[in-house]
Amino acid sequence: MEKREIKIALTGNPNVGKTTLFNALTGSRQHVGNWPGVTVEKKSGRVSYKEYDIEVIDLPGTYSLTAYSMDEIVARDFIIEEKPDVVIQVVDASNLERNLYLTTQLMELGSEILIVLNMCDIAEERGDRIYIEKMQELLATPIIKTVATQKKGICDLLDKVIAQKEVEQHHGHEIGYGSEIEDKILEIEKALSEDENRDKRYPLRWVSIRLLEGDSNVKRKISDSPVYGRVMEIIDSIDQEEYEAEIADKRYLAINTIFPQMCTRANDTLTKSDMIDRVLTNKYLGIPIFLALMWGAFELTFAFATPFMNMIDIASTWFADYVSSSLQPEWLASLVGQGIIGGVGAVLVFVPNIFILFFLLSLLEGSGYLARAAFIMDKLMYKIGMHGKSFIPMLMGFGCNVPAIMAARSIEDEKDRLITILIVPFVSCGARLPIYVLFAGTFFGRQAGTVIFAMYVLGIVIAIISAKLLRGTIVKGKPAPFIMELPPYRFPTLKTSIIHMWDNGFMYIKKAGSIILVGVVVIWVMASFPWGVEYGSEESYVGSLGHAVEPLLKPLGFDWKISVALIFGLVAKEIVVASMGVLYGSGDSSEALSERLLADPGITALSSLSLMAFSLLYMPCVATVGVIKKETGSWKWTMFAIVYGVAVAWITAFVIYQGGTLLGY
Amino acid sequence: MAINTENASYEPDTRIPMVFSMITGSLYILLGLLQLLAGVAKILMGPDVRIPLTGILFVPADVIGSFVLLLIGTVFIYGVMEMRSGIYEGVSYAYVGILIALIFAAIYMLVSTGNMLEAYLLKNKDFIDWTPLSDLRPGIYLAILPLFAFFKWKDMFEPVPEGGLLK
Amino acid sequence: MLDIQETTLDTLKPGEKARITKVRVKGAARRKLFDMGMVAGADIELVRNAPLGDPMDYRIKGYHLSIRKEEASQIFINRL
Repeated sequence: MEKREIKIALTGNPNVGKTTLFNALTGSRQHVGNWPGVTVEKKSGRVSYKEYDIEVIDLPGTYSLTAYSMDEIVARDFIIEEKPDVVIQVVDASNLERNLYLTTQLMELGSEILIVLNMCDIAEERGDRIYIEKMQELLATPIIKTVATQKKGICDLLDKVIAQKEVEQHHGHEIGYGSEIEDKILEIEKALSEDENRDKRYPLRWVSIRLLEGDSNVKRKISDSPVYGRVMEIIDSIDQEEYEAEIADKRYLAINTIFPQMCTRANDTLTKSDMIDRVLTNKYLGIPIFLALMWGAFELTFAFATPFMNMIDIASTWFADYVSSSLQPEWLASLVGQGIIGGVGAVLVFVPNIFILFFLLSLLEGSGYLARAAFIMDKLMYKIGMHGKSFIPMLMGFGCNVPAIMAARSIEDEKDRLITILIVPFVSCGARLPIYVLFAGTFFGRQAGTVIFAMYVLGIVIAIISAKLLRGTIVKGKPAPFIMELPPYRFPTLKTSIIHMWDNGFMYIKKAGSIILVGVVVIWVMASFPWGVEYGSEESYVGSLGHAVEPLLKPLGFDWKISVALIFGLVAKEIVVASMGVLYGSGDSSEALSERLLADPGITALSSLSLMAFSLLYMPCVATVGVIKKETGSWKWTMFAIVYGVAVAWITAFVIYQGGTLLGY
Repeated sequence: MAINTENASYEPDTRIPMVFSMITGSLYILLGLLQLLAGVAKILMGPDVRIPLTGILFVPADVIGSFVLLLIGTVFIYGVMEMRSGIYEGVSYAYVGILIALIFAAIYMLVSTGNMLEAYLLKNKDFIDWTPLSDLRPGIYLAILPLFAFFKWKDMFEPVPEGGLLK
Repeated sequence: MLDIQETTLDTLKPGEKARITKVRVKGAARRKLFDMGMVAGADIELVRNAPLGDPMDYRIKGYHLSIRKEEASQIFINRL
């Protein structure tokens, strides 16, 4: 039997349990991708129920449908243009007033709404009473109380969705904005309706209201229309700020008139969440606790991931050897074994790190602590021209730049996000540590620890200077205002965190993976040709390239061998160490490499310092370049990140080497 | 503990969380100091220095870890101070202290699991002497008190009627 | 309109309550504040400052909203 199709969209404020409901509805049958043209995550899934095949689209969580962020534009365009059969709004029962604000906007869009009341337990525990029957009547929409994780609740919900779809009755539930505004709405509606070719999917009244509120996105949508001039005349005749305030006032007024009839709120009580906040944002304890928790997260990411990283390392080495020895002809064995498996393996080693980082990030987010982290760090970040929300991505950068750049998605403002993405690569990630350990250990002996620490500080300083510099030049303006909900603390659900970890981890493997693959093949070709030379030796192309760039890197104190190692380091920075091993013919032993480095007059303590700084700052590894491309969606910014990084690295290394030489070191 | 829910002016009894916080907080601070001492001694005088008691109390020479212990202890004691001066919201510190203590115990145990994999599964030569006792530390065994309190919280610690603390 | 009681939101002390009279914030932040419930007539309470003094944690319409002093100084209130 042919199944009937239903399309439903999930909307709601952030932190209302929308994702949990989505996961409960679709289970493993979900698809995560991006909305076309923007880096807003699109999640969709399917569920078969009775004789229906239901497609569920999880819209980004928004407080409103104005055009404040990309999320909001994506959500409203979907509702208007794709016309889902039913729009489910997930509502936090413990926070009804603000949640209903979105409801008023959904109603204005003319969509078929169904409200799912979540978090009723929290509301009831604190003593709120919600009269669902009354609420249903006042809002003229079906309301379902769910416990999102229970099967029964889900079936009830799907039954209601089907019923809602079958009824197909549009209710006109509108908010009156008072005679002055209503007159203007009518005027604009009239002007707009004269354009026969207008996009009829957009309700006239909604477009008119949005225009009065000064919505530039909607303005752009009608800018081709022949009536655009007339509409703009009307809009220019009003005090837009006043209208904006008045319209918002009226919406809340509408909510406030019906609100007391459907909900009685308990007196202010001190909830568990308030208790936790009292301590975690305490004037004296807040920052130490924050630092301790972050340290704990790192400890876990690295210490717990190490055995898994070793397993991948052992497996990929074994596999590469196996392939090299069994494949014919020889060049193919070398390409697949040494090039592809070896190269990809070197990057895959970080997958456990990335998975754990994402898992922890999801726990932090789900518990509500991520918002507090931004709250606690905002003042500091603001001083360097950034937003509080940039702190966590930057901190994650110490682990691995790749998930750090992906975590920048939580920053709504495009400029803030771009700056964060551009400066994260300067944060010294775990892969750079082996380079410091080798060179600082070899040339600085007892001061090695101090030198390594200085490298981390250098990375941070360069990141801060870059942020200031970018703010003053190409990404002008102040950081976006900090207007953020501090959601109640909750115990994060394991299932949601695991799904989040899985989705993002695989996204990394898939997207970064393809660029990494290209990168390692290119490097292999350069190291192996002309055919017959020893892999990565002076006679190979990469050796020639090393010689070719030597004059450029000479002022920094690098000879051709270091240049070659740096080129290899583009795949993953710790490969610098391995390729030094190859170039100095010392094999895997780090003691032997240290001895040979000390014996080489071409490399001194000073040039090793310059080299450490250079490898910290120069072009990010291919995986990072891959994510920068993916997250900014622009080759222009990706190229900028590369060129800027190399320039900064060159200047810094130049200052260190030449300055040091001048001082007589 | 009988709680009168009818009477809004009722003064909640914070004796149990106070005594608990006092004991737990002091233990965390004491062992934190011992661990700090061991850590500093190791840095200043080399790895062979033996601080008394560190052996039988499984105290590692770990400075950062000692800050965590001291922090947890401070959170508990901060709560004691507030509760003593009659602010019953001070019970928040006991609650959060319990949560943080448990979080760190969980972190240490997961790290230990990682070491176990290294030692038994990968047979890493750096972990040749590893036994499950190698990773036992105050951050783990002290958390037994908070663990107990976490499960008994509703019955014993909450000095408030159903519906949260009255403000 | 001169009201001796009228002041700005950033002058509120922890635990104090007020009613919003006017939002003078400009730009995109203005609409965002409206969306979050910061409209004239709404009751608001300062819960606490962030550990470094800024931003602030306000309670409005039954939830916690955090904004910087900079925006708060452009929101006018009557102390309750």
